[in-house]
Amino acid sequence: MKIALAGNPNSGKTTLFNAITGHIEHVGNWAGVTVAKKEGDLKPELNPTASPLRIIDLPGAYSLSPFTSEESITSQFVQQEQPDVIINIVDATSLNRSLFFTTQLLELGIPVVVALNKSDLLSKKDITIKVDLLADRLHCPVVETVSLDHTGLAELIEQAIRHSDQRQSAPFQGVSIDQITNKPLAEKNDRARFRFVDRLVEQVEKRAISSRQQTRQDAIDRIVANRFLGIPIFALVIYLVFSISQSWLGPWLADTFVGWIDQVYELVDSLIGSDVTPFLRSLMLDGIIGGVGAVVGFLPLIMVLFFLLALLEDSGYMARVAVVMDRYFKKVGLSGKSIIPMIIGTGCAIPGIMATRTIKNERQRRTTAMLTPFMPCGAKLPIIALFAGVFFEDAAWVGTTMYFAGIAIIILGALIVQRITREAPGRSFFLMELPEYRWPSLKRAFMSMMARAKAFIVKAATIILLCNAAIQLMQTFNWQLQLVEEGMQHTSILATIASPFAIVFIPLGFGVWQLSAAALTGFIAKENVIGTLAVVYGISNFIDTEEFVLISGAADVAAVMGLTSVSALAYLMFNLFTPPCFAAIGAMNAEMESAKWLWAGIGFQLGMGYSVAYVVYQVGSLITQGHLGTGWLAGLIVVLGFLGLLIGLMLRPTKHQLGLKEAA
Amino acid sequence: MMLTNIILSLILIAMVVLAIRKLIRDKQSGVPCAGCPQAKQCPSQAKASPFITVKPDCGPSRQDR
Repeated sequence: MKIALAGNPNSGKTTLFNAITGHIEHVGNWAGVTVAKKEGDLKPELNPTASPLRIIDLPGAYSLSPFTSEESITSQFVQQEQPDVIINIVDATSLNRSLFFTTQLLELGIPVVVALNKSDLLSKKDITIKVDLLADRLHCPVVETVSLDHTGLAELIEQAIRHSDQRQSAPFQGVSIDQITNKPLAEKNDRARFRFVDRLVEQVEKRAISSRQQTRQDAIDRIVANRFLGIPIFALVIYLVFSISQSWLGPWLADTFVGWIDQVYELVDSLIGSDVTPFLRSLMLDGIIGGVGAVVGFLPLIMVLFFLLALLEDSGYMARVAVVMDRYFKKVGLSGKSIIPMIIGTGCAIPGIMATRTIKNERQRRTTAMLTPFMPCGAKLPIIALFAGVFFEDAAWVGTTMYFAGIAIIILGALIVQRITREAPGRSFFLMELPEYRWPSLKRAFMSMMARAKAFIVKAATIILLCNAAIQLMQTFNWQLQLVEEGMQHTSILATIASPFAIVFIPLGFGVWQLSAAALTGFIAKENVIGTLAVVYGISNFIDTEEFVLISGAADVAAVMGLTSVSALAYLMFNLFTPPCFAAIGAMNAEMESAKWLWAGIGFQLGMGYSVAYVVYQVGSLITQGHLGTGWLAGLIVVLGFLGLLIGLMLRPTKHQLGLKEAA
Repeated sequence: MMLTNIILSLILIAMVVLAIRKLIRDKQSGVPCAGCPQAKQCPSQAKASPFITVKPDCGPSRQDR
């Protein structure tokens, strides 16, 4: 038996799905978190039948019209897969808007049970709903639920099972779904449906506070989403998040954690003893435990950061950030919807890129997929934490600057793509429901943090472990498969592969094979940058256990790497703003559906990362040392070549202009 | 010394084999990125390799956009 969960965006479908299946899917207090269907089995304690019940969580939809892409997933599923029953999750505080979709679902001939979700908020908002009358008018059962504390869920499932084989008559009969593609007819039908819903809501709902009245939430929004104050407030919030995660709480936790990793290192070291072959000893201790340990050492910092971001998301603030950014994105030819993939991309670029599928305009979708990886994802956070901690005393501003540098590059990139594609700026409308502010749930934030921590550990135990083992082997042997002797590391397989790239990086301030090798392995997974640095420099952890601050021991690490603070910043920005990992490039390919766009995107990311790192290093060297850095002329030629290519593409005559020229 | 080397080699090989097996299993079950909490959202849509085509049964088709 299949039960589909369908409803408007941000009505609480995924929270309900998690509650009845025991899954830990990502939820957020804003619309557009779910962009594809998810499946799971009903918890046995909620299942009164002997057979398993399959639950399908569908993306939020305002209607079954196939005019928008996210709605078409829900529309296609309910029409083609024919679930046995649909649980329609309705936000009890927004009955008027929600019932439009409900009446469409009731026309499909599939039994529907309405979950009047968030019903705990009704009393707070002085709203009364006559539930029995609503059920009578809709011709289907209506159950009051609160997904957050599991209220009414058992009754909801019981009603769904009981009504799964019963026929229901639709309270409103519109045109069939097949005729919805006829737009004038569909609009006429929609107007009639809205009138029906309005009349129904008048009968069943009583509001003490008119929706036109200004609430405390409206007053907060006027400040938080203000066109002038919105960005500084966002900057302050991100700064606080980085301060707590990378300057205060995170390092304190990391310090304890790294102490345990060191104990593991010492334990394995003592178990191995001194009899073992140096090569095997080095592979186990330096390559695997040292390399993986260096990456995993940053886990507490990342967990704190994700916990704080989950709190922000749950509070409803991130939806306001989308509104603040919308006006800037529209000006550079992006959709207002582009901000949603970018916010999701701060966790991981892959789901962020996947979320671009909700953008209808092909050019905007491809541009967003191309630019989303510029937002620093979770995998890049250890790199930020390492460089901020080792080279800069105040770690928090570095992370904040990287986020805003990412946003600035996205805006610049969008402007360039708009000029290259010559798409006339059209009027763009972005309607996004602003969710209620609420006290964020510590439990949900904790679950979100643990899911990401698990992901980080699995990645460290698989991809990072394999890469570090390979790096250690390539560093230990030369091309004749002989062990590399002390002081001859430049003859190793790794050094000979990375050295040609190091030449290219001289104008960026990090023209040594060790740093080049780390940057190259970052394309497999960005955390590899840390692991590779640990292996090639023989540093088992970057977080000192002796003193309770991340930046202690920094001078030693900086001296070993041979980087100045300026070249370290350039290296950090190069790793953040060049193409993402291969998995994210795969997602870009899937969403762009164009080899030309994919390769143009990769080329743009490479050129942009190189140019930003060059400018940071050369300008930084001029300011701090009074002269330009090494290789400035060669680098300038490369950067000017990239700029020239972009300008050439922007100024090239269009097919229309070429046609006029030929005619003349 | 010989025995210690053999045991350590076996442990290293086991670690590598287990890591590769986990990656292959994830790939077969449609997880594009090992351990990713969102990876199972839509197995056929976001593959790790640019050379795998997108199946139309998950997410909107190109015509719908």
